[in-house]
Amino acid sequence: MTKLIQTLIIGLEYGCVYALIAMGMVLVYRATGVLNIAHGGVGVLAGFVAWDLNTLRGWPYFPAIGVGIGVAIVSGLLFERFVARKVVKPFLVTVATLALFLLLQGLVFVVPWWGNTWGQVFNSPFANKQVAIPGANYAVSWDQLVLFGNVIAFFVGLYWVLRRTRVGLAMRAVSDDPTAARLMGIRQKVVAPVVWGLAFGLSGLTTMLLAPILLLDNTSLTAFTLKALTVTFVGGLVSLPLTVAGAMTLALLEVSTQLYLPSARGLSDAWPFLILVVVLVARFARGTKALEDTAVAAV
Amino acid sequence: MSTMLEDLAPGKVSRPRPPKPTVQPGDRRRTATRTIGVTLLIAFVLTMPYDMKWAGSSFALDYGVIIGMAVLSMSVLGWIGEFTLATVAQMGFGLVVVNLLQDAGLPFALILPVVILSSIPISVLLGVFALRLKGVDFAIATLAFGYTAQKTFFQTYLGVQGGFGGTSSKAISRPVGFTGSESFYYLIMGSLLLMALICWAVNRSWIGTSLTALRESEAAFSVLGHSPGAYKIFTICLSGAIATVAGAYFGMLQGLVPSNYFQPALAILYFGFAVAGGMGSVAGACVAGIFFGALPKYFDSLSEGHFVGYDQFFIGIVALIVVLWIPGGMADVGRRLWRRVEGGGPAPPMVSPLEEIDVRDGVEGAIAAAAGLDTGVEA
Repeated sequence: MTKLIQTLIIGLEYGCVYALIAMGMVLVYRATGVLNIAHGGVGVLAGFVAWDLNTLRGWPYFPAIGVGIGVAIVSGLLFERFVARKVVKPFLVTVATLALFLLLQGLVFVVPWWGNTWGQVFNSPFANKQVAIPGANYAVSWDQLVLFGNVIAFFVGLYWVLRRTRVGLAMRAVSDDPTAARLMGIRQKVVAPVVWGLAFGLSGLTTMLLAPILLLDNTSLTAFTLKALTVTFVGGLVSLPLTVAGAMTLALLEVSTQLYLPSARGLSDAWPFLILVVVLVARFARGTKALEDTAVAAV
Repeated sequence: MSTMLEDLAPGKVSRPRPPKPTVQPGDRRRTATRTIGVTLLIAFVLTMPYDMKWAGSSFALDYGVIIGMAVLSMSVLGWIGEFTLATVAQMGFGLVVVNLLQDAGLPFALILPVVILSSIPISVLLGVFALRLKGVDFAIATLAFGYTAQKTFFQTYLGVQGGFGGTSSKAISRPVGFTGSESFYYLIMGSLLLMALICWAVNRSWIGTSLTALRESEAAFSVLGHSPGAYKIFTICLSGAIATVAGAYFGMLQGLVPSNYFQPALAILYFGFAVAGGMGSVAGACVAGIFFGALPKYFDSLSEGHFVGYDQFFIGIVALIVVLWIPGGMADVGRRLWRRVEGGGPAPPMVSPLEEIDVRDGVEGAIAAAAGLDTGVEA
C-alpha cells in the first residue's frame, strides 16, 4: 500500500510536469495551427535570466522570476510580430519555432557567465519545506505542491478561457476559419500576440516551477519537452482534458514500471512510443469508422 | 505542283524539317562556365583535406561529410512533404550493425551492402507510420521512436562509454586501406557523392516526378491509380539507407560512440541544417551538412575550445533567416548565383517542399487518402 501511494504521488508529480509543458503546446496549436517546438528553449532562456538575477546579482526570488517570465512573454510577442506574422504557413512557423529552439538553447552557451549549463541550483523560498504524506512513508516538498497547484489552476484557467471568454472564442474562431473570423470582426493582429505571449509566458513559468525540483539545465528540460510532445499526440494537439489524461497516464506507467519492475528498465523508457502506437491505432480505427459512416450516409 | 501532290500521296506525310540548332553565344558561355565550375569543384573536393589543414585536423572534415550524409537523408524526405526525427536513431542502428559484422569478421566490401539492407526493417516500420500520419504528426511519431531507441536499445548496447554489448569495449575499426585520415576522407566523400548522385538521378527520373505529384496532392495521386504507400515507403527506405550508412561511417570515424550521442534532440539540429540547405535539395543538403558539421569543429580547434556550443546558436539564426526570407535555403541562393554567373536571366522562385507541408490534414487526411474517401476537406 505504501508503495502504491508513493507510485501515485511520484507519478502525479511527473504527470504535472508533462501536462504543464503539453498544455502550452496545445494552446498554441489550437489557436494558430503551429506546433511550438521552442517551448523548452524559451523556458531555458527565462530560467537562466531569473537564475542570473537571483543567484549572480542578488535579486530577491520573486522579482527575479517575474523578470524571467516577462522576458519569455516579450520573446513571444517579438516572435509573433517579426516571424509568425510574416511567415503565414503554419508548417513554416513550426520550423521557425524549431530554429528558435536551437537559437535559445545555443544562447545559454554563448553568454559567458552562464558557463556551466549542467544543473544550476535555483532554489525557491520554499526549499527544505516538506509535508509528510500519512501512510506513505513519503514527504512531498512545497515546491512539488506549488507545481501541482499551478497545473490545476492552469488547466481550469485555460479551459475556461478557451470555452467561456470572448478572447478564447476569438482564438478558436481564428484557428478554425481565419477568413470567417475576420469577416465577423475578429482582429487576428490582436488575438495572435495574446496567444504567443501567453504560451511563451507559460513555458517560462514551467521552468520556474521545475527548476527548484530538478535543477536548471538544458538537457532535462529538452527531454521533458520531447516527452510532452508525445503527450500532446494523445489529445490530438487540441483536447486539453485528453492531454492532461495522457500526461498522467504516461507518468504513472513510467513510475510504476520503475518501482514494480526495476529490471525492465527499457520498458519504462519505451512507454512514450507504446502509447503513441496505441493512440494511433485507436484514432485510425475511429477515423475509418467515421469516414465509412459518412460515406454510407451520403449514399 | 506535282511535288506537292506527291507529298500528299498516301503513306507519305510532309513534315517541315526542323531547323538546325544554331549555337548561341550564351550557350558557349554556359558550357564553358559549367566546365570550369565542375573542374573547380572536383579540384576543391580532392584537395580539401590539405587545404583545411591550417584550421585543424581532418577529423572535422570527416565529421562534416558524415553529417552531410545525415542531412541528405533528412532532406530526401522533403520530396514527399514529410520530415523525420528518427535519423539519428537510424544512424545508431548502422553503427551497431557494423560492430556486429566486424566482430563476425566480414570484409568491408560485404559490410556496406549488409548495412544498407539492414536499414530496411526499421524504415518499413517508420513507413507504416507514414501511411497513417502526415506532417507534424509523423515527425512526433519518429521523435518518439528515436527517443525510445536511444533510451532502451542504445543505452543498453552502447552504454555511457560506448562499450558494445557491455563486454570488453571493442572499437569499430576503419576498413583496410582507409585507415589514414586522407584516405578515409576520400572513402566517405566518394560515398557521399555516390549517394547524392543516386538521389539526384531518382529525383530527375519518373519516380521524382511521381513523388512531386504525391506531395502536391495525395488524394489526386491515389485517384490516378498510383499507390502513395509504395512511393512513401520507397522514399523512407532510401532516406533510412543513407542514414544507416552515415551511422556506419560515424562508427568507423569515432571507434567507440556513447549512447548519449543518439539523443533525438540532435535530429532537431540536423533538421535545422536541412532547412538551411534547402529541404528537398540534394546539393543543398550535402553542402549544408558539410559546412555546419565541420565548421564548429574547426572553430573548436582554432579557438582552443572557447566556442563549444556556439553551433546551435549559429544554426538557429541561419534557419530563422532561411524561413523568413529564403525558404529554398542555400540551394536556392546557389541556384540564383550560378544562373547569374552563367549569364542567364533571373531565376524563377523555387518552391520549397517546406511551403507545401500542411500540418492540419494529419491523421484525417491520411485516413481519407488510404480509404479513398472524400472528407470534404480541401486538399
